[in-house]
Amino acid sequence: MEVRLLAKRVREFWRRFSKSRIAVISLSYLFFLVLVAIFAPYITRYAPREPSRDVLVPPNFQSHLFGTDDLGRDILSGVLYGSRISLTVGLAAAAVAMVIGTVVGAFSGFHGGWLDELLMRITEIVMAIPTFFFALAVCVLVGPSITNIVLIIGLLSWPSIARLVRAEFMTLKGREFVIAARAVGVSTFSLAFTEILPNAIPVAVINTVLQVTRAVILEASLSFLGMGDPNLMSWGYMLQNAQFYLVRAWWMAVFPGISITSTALAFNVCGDALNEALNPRLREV
Amino acid sequence: MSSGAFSFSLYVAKRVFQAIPVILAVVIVNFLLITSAPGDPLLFYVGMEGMSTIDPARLEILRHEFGLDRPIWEQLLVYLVKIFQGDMGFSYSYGEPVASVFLNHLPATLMLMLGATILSSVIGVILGVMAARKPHSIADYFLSLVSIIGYSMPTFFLAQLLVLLFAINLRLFPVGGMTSGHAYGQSGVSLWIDTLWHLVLPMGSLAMWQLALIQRQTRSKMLEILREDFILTAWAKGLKEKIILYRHALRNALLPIVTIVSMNLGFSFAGALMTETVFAWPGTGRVLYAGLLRRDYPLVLGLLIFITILIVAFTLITDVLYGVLDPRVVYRKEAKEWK
Repeated sequence: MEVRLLAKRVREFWRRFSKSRIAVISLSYLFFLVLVAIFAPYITRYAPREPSRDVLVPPNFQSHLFGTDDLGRDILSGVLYGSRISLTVGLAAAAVAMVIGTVVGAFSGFHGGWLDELLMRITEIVMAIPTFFFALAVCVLVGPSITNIVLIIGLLSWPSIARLVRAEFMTLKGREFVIAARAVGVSTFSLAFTEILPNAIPVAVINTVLQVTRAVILEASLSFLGMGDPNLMSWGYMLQNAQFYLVRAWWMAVFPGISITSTALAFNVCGDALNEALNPRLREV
Repeated sequence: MSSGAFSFSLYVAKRVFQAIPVILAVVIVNFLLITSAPGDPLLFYVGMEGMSTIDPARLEILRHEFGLDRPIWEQLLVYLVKIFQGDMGFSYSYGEPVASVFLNHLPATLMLMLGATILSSVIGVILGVMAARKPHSIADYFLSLVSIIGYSMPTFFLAQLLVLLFAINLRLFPVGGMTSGHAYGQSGVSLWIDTLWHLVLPMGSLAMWQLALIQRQTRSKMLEILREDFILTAWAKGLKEKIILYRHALRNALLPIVTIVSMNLGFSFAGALMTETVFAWPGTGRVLYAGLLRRDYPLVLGLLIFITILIVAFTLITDVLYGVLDPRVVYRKEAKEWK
């Protein structure tokens, strides 16, 4: 029964989501990107950080499809390997934000009272911290590693998710099915986690997808300022490097830049389509 | 409505009190973070070579002079008191008070941000209304596509593209800086024109993200409002479309748009930093970046606090203005419950 209901929900969701053709294309692109990130070493024969004597070679079909940079490093392999950083940081930071945001929002909305007051004040404080500037300071002071970047973005991006989940819990806890469950004697704990939480998840997911984009762009911005992980090739770093060669080597900027933009674009389009497919407010209209 | 006025001032007072812990928290966390970081700040005062040649006793005197030998909570306390007095400390690398470094470079940043905000607000709202006029039309799809691309593109990449296209290939605008070399020492109109000429590309790249955001928000708010009854009434009265769109609908959509813009101020400040870096625009963002690289702790800390205060204050002002402009907002506690 449960499984059939779930399957039905998933089918219904896919029907709504796939109504937007551009969303399906974006989703396929993201799957493609994941494959690229995993199989990067098999696609290109160049190591991304390996210098060579072929310096500033323009894009060509014989040796370097996207050209090479000032140290003779292959741009295509940098773009391929760079997808690992962007995807890891984007997904991991958003996951951290989603877990914290959902837990805080659930407790706040379900418990109410003093706990709600306290958690919401904390949420407001975190919300007011300018994420980018704070992350920049942390990277310079504590050292720019990919773990630090994920943690700092994740730890500062949860407030909007918490607020949405809280609002969802507050409205849902007064609904008939919750009151009915309570009347039957379901414990408070399982009431919150098995009855209300599944209904609050869609809202959290929609916002989380948008947080992925933000994290991807934040990471690229930090790397662009030279505050990315120094041991890894990332798109932001490639653009920073390209800054000095704009006049002589446009390809150094254009290919990594298009990669960041298209990845962020795909996540944004998917986020929009998810919103249309899952948002109960839009559905009821 | 005297009770209304009373609850309004109560609301303002409450919001101001809420802002204080935010600023305090940022100050304390920043302070702890910066002081716990590896690297001796004195290293950046005397330099790498100075560190190996300086007399250790002299180093201790310097440490004592800067108060770096005192316990951390005492340093924090001193710092908080000083901030309260408006003293943000002294920048090692600039050799002047942080406040004056900040104030010297703020106008350039404000010029950039203000220009970008005006540009993006005007064009963004117009394009948003255009898209909402005929939803799901070809024009709407086109505008939505353009704005979602603009929304996804990092500011610094757009900046580089603009440089490639308009500065390097077409040679229409300068690659960077705020004034040309030959304009040095000039004043008056020609300096202004020269500055504006340098402003075009940075302003354009900074405006794009906000423009896209505003276009998207305007579109969705307008669509929401155009479904309401009073719009139907306006149509039934036989009013012209332009009047209904701009007078009736947009007026109601504008306030939420203002909130969105003010909520994203931190993000556009970050965008300004990226833009300033690409175009060598001499604003606060560039100073902050330079300070970070030189480990100029007081400068970094001071700038972060200044920026945070600016953002918090601005959010507060828009919040309060929101209430003044929108009579539907109620400042009582119950308002929260049904909101």
